[in-house]
Parts: sequence; structure tokens; C-alpha cells
Amino acid sequence: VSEISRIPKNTVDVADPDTARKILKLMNRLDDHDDVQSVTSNFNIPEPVMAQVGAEE
Amino acid sequence: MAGHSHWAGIKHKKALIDAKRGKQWSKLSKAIIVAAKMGGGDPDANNRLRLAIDAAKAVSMPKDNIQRAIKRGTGEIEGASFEEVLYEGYGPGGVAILCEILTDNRNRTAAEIRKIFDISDGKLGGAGRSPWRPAPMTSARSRASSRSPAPPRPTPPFRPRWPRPASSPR
Repeated sequence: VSEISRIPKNTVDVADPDTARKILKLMNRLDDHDDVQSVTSNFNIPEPVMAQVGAEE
Repeated sequence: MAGHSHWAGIKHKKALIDAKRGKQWSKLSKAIIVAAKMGGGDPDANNRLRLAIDAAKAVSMPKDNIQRAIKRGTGEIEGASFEEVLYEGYGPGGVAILCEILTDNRNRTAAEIRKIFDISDGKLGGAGRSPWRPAPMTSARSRASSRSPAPPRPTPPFRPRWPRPASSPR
């Protein structure tokens, strides 16, 4: 399946796990809204930080 | 022993799943409505509609719902009209967030989206109407084309199906 998606030209690194968690929460909240079709962002969470965030959930 | 039937336990789980699926379906049918409105109700002639229908079928949305959404888009069935809005905001850490929205009431949605940003330490920017600032994300590409094409498969040796070789069982 092919689809058109938005690809950021420049990304923002998020090294702080707390900030990363907040961003992901915000993305989820937006996506849960009935009128929202898609949510895109330009954050980049490095693997170790992401593993840490994922492990706590 | 009240509430000890199988259904008594299942119904709570089912209610949760149903609510989630209903939400997903209403989003997908909105996408179909708008696609049908823009390019007509024939999926063969309307690429966007075809993609929207494929997405709906992928999560097993009933055919009736899909047909109804197409008819609402073409105007055969009355219903609210939707418009497309693009919202730009900033999240924690200064990351840019872009929301594609289909709404029948821009004012209501704007307030609700702004509230979501506010309670999450974010900030909602303009409603996709800020031409003086270049959008943070503009390039789009097909996901399929970004992958390298699969190598061609070797042609299997020709084996006639009929008549069957005498050695084969049955």
C-alpha cells in the first residue's frame, strides 16, 4: 500500500525522557480527537531514550 | 450469583473495543465523504477516494458504511459538510506538530484542539493560514517508492499440469 505522508525536512532531537513522554502523550491526545485525521511531528527521540520511555509504560 | 455469566464479563471489554472502533470508523468515513465530494463517487476515477476506501476496508468497516459515506460525499444523502483544515502547533521541547483536520464546525474544533495543546504544555499556532512562515514540513513522498524494488524472482522450471506424471499420487 502506498500513501502520501509528510516527511519533516529538519528534525528536533529530544534527549529528555520526560519531554519525550509529554510529546507522545500530546500526539496521542490529538489523534484521539474525532476531527483529527492525522498528526505529524518533527521530533526525533534517540533509541536509548525511547527504550527508557517504553520500558516504563 | 448475579453477573456471573460469560457475557457479564465480556460486555465491559466489548464496550471498550466498540467505542474505539466506532471512532476509527467515523474518522475514515469522514475521509471518504470529503474524497467523494472533491473527486466524485467513482473510486476508479478518484484516487483519493480509492485510498480512503482501502484504508476503511483494512479495518473491516462494513460495506454499507462505506457506500453511505460515498453517497454523503456526492450529495445523494444529506449531511453535514466538512472542510479541511491544517493546524500547526508546538509541543514540549519546541517540536513542531501538524494536524490534518476534517471538521464540520471550525470554531468548535479550534477550541478543542487548542485545549489539548494547552493541557500538554504545547502551543497552537495558526490554522494553516500562515503563509509568511514556511511550513516546517512540506515534502511528501510515497512510502512505497522510498523502498528499493524487490529483486525479480527466478522463473520456475516449466512443469506441465496435465497429463499428470504417472508417479504422482492421486
